[in-house]
Parts: sequence; structure tokens; C-alpha cells
Amino acid sequence: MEHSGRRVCFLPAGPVCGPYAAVAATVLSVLCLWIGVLLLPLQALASDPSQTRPETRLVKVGVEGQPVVGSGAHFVWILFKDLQADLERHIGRPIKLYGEDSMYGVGCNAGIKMARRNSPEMETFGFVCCPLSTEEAEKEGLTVYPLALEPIYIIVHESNPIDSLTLEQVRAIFSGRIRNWREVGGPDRSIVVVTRLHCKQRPGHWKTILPTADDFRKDRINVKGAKPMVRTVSDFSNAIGHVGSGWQIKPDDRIKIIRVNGYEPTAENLKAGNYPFYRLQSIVTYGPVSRDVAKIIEFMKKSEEFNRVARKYNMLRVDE
Amino acid sequence: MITFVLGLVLLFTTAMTVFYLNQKSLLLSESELHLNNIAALITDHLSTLERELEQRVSMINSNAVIQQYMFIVAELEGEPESFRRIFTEQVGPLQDERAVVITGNGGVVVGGEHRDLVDFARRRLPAEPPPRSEITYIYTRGRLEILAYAGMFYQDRPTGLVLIGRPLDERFLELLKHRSGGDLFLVLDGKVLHCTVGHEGEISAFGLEDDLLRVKDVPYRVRRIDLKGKAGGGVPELWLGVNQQRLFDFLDRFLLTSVIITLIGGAATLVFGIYLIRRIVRPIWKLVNLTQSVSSGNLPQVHEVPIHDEMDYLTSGFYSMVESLKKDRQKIEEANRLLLQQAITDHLTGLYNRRYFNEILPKLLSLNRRKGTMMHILLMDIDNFKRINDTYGHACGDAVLIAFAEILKKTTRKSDFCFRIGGEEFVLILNAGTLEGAVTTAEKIRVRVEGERIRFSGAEVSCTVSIGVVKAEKDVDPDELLKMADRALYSAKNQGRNRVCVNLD
Repeated sequence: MEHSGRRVCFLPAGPVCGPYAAVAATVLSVLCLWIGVLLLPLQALASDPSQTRPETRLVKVGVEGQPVVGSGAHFVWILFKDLQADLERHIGRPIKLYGEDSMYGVGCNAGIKMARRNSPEMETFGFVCCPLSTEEAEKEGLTVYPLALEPIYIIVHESNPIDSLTLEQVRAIFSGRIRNWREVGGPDRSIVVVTRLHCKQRPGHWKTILPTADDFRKDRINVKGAKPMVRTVSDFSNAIGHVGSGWQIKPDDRIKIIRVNGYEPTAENLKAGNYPFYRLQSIVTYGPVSRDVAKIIEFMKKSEEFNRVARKYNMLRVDE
Repeated sequence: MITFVLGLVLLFTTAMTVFYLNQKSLLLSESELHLNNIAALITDHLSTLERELEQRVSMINSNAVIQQYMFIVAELEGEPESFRRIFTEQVGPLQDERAVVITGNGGVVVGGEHRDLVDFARRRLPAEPPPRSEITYIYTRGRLEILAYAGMFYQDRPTGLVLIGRPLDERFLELLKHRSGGDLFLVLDGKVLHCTVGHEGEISAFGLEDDLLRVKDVPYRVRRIDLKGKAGGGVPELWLGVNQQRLFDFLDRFLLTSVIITLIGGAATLVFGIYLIRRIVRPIWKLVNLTQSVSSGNLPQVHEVPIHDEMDYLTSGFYSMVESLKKDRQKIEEANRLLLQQAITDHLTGLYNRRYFNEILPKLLSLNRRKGTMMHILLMDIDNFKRINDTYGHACGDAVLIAFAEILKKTTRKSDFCFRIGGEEFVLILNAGTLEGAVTTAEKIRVRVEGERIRFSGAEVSCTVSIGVVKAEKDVDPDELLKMADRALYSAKNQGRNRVCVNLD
């Protein structure tokens, strides 16, 4: 407003802080600017690909140095375990095998799962203790490489006086037609049938004893693995069971292997067709097989080292 | 006083009784609540034990390996030793528990040494074995025992029965007693089988009187602990009891303490009260009375007090104030007396003045009227006083007046009143006496005045006086009386002065 020829300005009441705020804002702005300038090189350093993404190089190293991974049925795993050093020497790379102590599990399904994880970054294969059907192999996209025939032992308690049974007697016992040892020349005791009827959709294995699970006697004892199988037969003097020849029988296992039709469960008797109970050990792969996995399969099928280990467990190489 | 003390004692006794009964009722109510809480605590504890046993039994009868082994033993003539081995491996060690496993046909697989449990398990067999664990209580080997049992199955086929027992033995009951603070009684058909009080031998019957159990005359407030699935007759009941006498003892101790504290407190209060009364209230009342006395105008006799405390200071100060007031009052009275004297006295002659004459004459007349006595008035005037003043001065006149007054004082009795009512006029009131006596007095005055020689400034001055005498009749008005006296005086003046005239009207 005009007053006496001068322009008079009325300031609002209260503390006059405007100039101080302006000075403080300026100081802060300059400070932030300097901090930004100082941090720029650090930021640039942090965004250096060679500093932040070393995994790019690791992947490259991994392809070359990562192990070939295998997992699956226990009875095949023990073959690979025995041959691991030879195999690694053969392919010039480490091989990682997941067996009985692994969280990946033991069994044919674990082998199939491991095979399906095969990729250029991680080469895998699986092993199964019974042959896959053609339908299942096609459905899963798997390729099956048979390795060896493994005799299935018929085991009884070591105190059982029976040492040999005919094929028919074995089948009659497992089917329940014979329920007392007296009927096969043994003591007058009930027979306890212990079975491990796994991989029910796949051919072979226990199906060489009886073709289907329904053919086994109903009041059998179904166990979940070879270990409880051996334990149960060890615990009961009137028990009978079956286990693959690859199972390592310990000194305190109170079992004995009986002959069938008078024949021992050996590779020779398998080859001659005298021993009726066996299963087919195989490798399974998924998708394109790498050069090293192919070398492993070739080694397992043809090498003398495999022959040695197979004989150790009474197994018969498929091409023999 | 005795009544007051007796009343006080009665009031105190009544108050303590009401307090005791109230506390007892409160304690009983709290005890009831406490008992319920302990009972719930024990029930919870037993429930926890039951759940643990149930879980253990469920774990056993759902274990696949145990199921298989049991089937082999029960149905396929398998060796029980193998079952026992796998049972120990799978179940783990048993500490306080006892386990029994029997087959469907009653064969003992585990726990053959526990014949009582085996018998119990066998008795359960004819019935359909329960697929889930069940709980029951039995009384065996002189102690209560929780049992959890369940049927064993393999492929839906019953194979036997598993049973785990947890004895609630003396150690357990003592532990419960220690944790809960209550005592436990095992009672069967009204008979105490065991209790944690320690008098089992002496407590034969469990009889409740007014919801109380009496153990050697000690009352226990009791609650029954419900035992889940009690297995029929022969199983004792579990009772929880709280020693009520202990609560009452506690209450008695509390009451005794309260009485002692109250008595000590009362005595302390009494002593303090007496001290207050003696040292404060009583001195204050004395001061109040003194104040009232002072305010009513009396100033009592006070004495010096020895000073011990503030009250003594106050009392002493007040007494000093009373003493000061007394002195002040004496001064005031003296001053008043002087003022009164000055108010009624002629300052020159020392005789009463006209004002006092006017005041006292009616009173004297009234007094004489009541007494029936005679009163006479002598009105006197110094003759030719103006001439003396004019001749010798006023100072000399004053000396004459003083000398005349002295003659009057000497001549009159103490009962007579002398007034100077004007310049040289005087009045003498003679109380009692006769007219002749009044005339005699007047004549005596006249003669003495006539003979008096007053020395003043080397001169010798004499004077005379004329006197009018009048007798005060009973009904005479004061003014009229003075007029009568004045007429007599006038007559004396007219007759040549220096004489006495009597008005006989």
C-alpha cells in the first residue's frame, strides 16, 4: 500500500525464519551434491559385470568340471560304487553317485527322477533294478540301457533245515498254497512269507516268482526294502523271503540262501537258464546323451572291470 | 468411667468377633476356590498323563514293523523274542510304565511278569479290541494305575492287544501333594486305602460331615477327582483334601497378631492421648477459660509457669499478657478515677463542682426519701468577693476561695457534700441531722470565715459569707429546693450579709 509516498510492507507476525531456512537448504543441497559425486565411482564399481556376476564364468567352469550325476536303485548303485574310480578315470571327470545315504532317495523311481534332470548344465543318468516297459519309457522320454541280470535269492532263517526247494514249491509257498514247512520236508511250523513287491507296473523282478501281487498269499509280510527283508527273515525261524544278489549279507544276518531246483543262484546258472528268479539291472537316460554318459554306459556294458564286479555279486552281463 | 471402659471393651470384642467371622467366611470362600483350582490342576495333570499314555499306545499300534511282527507272532507262530527285540527298539525304554502285549488268543508276548495287567488285558479280549487307545484306571498291587490300551491290527485283522500302565503309587501321590499343597485320599467303598496325611492306619472310614472329612479331629475340605473310564467296581476313588484346620490356625494367628497390634496401638494412642490432653488440650482449655474470663472483663490471678515446651511458652506469654492487662487496667482505672474526680471536682478548691451537684442532689433526695432521713442544703456566697478581686486581683480572689473551701472541708463531716457551684457560690449538703444542726454548722462556717485572715502578697485579707439554709422536704424538687435556698441566701444578703438565714417554707 502507498503511505506518505513510500511503499509500506506488512510482514506476517512470528519468527522470521525464511533466510535461515534458505541458507540451510542451500548447504544441504551442496552437501548432497558432493556425496553424490563421491559415490558415483563406487556405484560404477558395483555395476562392473566382472565384479557382480562371477557366476557367468562359474557356469562355464561348471560345464567342464561338474560331475556327472547318477542315482537310483540300490542294487545298481553298488555296482557303480565299486567302479566309480575306474569310471572317473575313463571319462576324465568326477562322477557323483547318490545312494543309500542320500536325500535323493534310493530306488528305481529316484533313478528315473534323476535321469529326467539331465541338461547341458548337469549331465545325469539313473539306474533301475527292473526293466521299464516300452510304454513307460516312451511316456517318460527315457532310454533304457540294460546292464546285467541279477539273481533273486530265496532266503530263509539259518536254522531252517530246508536247503533247497523246487520252483513249484517256492511258488506254492509264496502263493500260500503251502503254508507249513512240514509240507516241504521241514518242521511243523507255519510259513511266514516276507515280500518286497515294488515297481508293480514294471516287468520282471519278483514277477519271476509269481506274475502279480495278487498271486502272493494275502497274509504275507510286506516290507519296505531289502534291509527289513533280511532283518525279518533273520528274526523269525519260519520266515522265507527274497532279496537281490547285490545285497551284502552281514555276518550277523541269520539267513541262508536256498537252492532252487537244486541250483545255486549264480551267473552261470542264470546264463544256463537253470535259476529261475532274476531281475534286469539297467541305466536310464533322458534326452540327448552326452559324450561322457555314453562313455559310462559303454564302459559298464563292455569293460572287464564291470565283469569283475558283476561276478562278485553273482550278476550276469546282458550281452554274455 | 467404668461403664465407658466396659463399653469400650465390649465394642472392641464385638468388632474383633465380627472381623474374625468375616475373615473366616472369606477364608473359607477362598479355600473353596483354591480347592477347586487344585482339583482342576490335578485333573489336568492326570489328563496329561493319560494323553501321553494314549499317544504312546497309538504310536505302538500304528507302527508298521510292530504290526508285522505282531502278526507273525500271533498268527504265524513267530518267535516272541523277535517281537520283544523289535518292540524294545521301536518303543524305547520304559521307566515308570509297564507294558503288556498279548495275542488275540491271550498269549503273552511282552510283559509276562506283569500278571495283573496281563489278566486285565485278557479280560478285555473277548470284546472287540478298540482300534484307538482307551484309558482306564485300575487298582492293583495296592495302588492306582492308569492304563492305556488299544487293539493291534495287521491288514485290518486283529492280532492282539497292547497295554501300557502308569502306576500312581505313593511316590506319585506324594509328588502331587507337594505340587498342589493338598492331601490325597484313595477311598474304596468308604474305606481309606491310602492317604498322604500319614494316618492311614487310624483312618478307617471315609465319612463326610457337612462336606468335611475329619482326620483325627482335623477337618479337611475335600473334592473328588474324576478318573476317566474307571474300570468298574474295585477301583478306588481319588479325593483331594485341604486341611481346613491349618487355615483356621493361620486365621487364629492372624487374629492374635491383629489383637496384639490393636492393643499396642490402642495403648500407644491412649498414652499419646493422655499426653495430648495433659500437655496440649488441658493448657488450651485453661487458656480458653482465661480468654473468656478476660473477655468478660475479669482478670484472674495468674502465676509463673515453668517452661518445658511451646505450650508453656504460650501459657507464660498469655499470663504475662494478663499481668500487663491488669497493670493497664489499674492505670486506666486510676486515670478514670482522676477523670471522674476532675469531672466532679472544682479544680481550684478541690470541692465538688456544679455538675456533680446537679447529678447527686436528686440521688441524695431519693435516698433520704427511702431512708426517711432529713437532709439540709446550705447555699453560701462570699460577701463582696468582687471587691476583693478588684482590690487584690484575681489571684488573691482564688486564694480566698481556696481558704473558704478549706474551712468547709474542716467544718463538715465525711457524710456531707461540699460543692462550688459558681464563682463565689458554694453549697453544702448535710446528710441526716436536724435543721438546728444545719444552722449550727452554717453559723460555725460563717464564724470561721469571718475570723480567717488570708495572707497574700504581704497583705492580709479577710472576708465574710452569707448562708441560706433550707430543709429538704420529702417531695421537694431539686430545682425548687435550690431556689428555696437561694431565697434564704438572698434574704441574708439583704439583711446585711455575714449572716445565716433559714427558709422555713
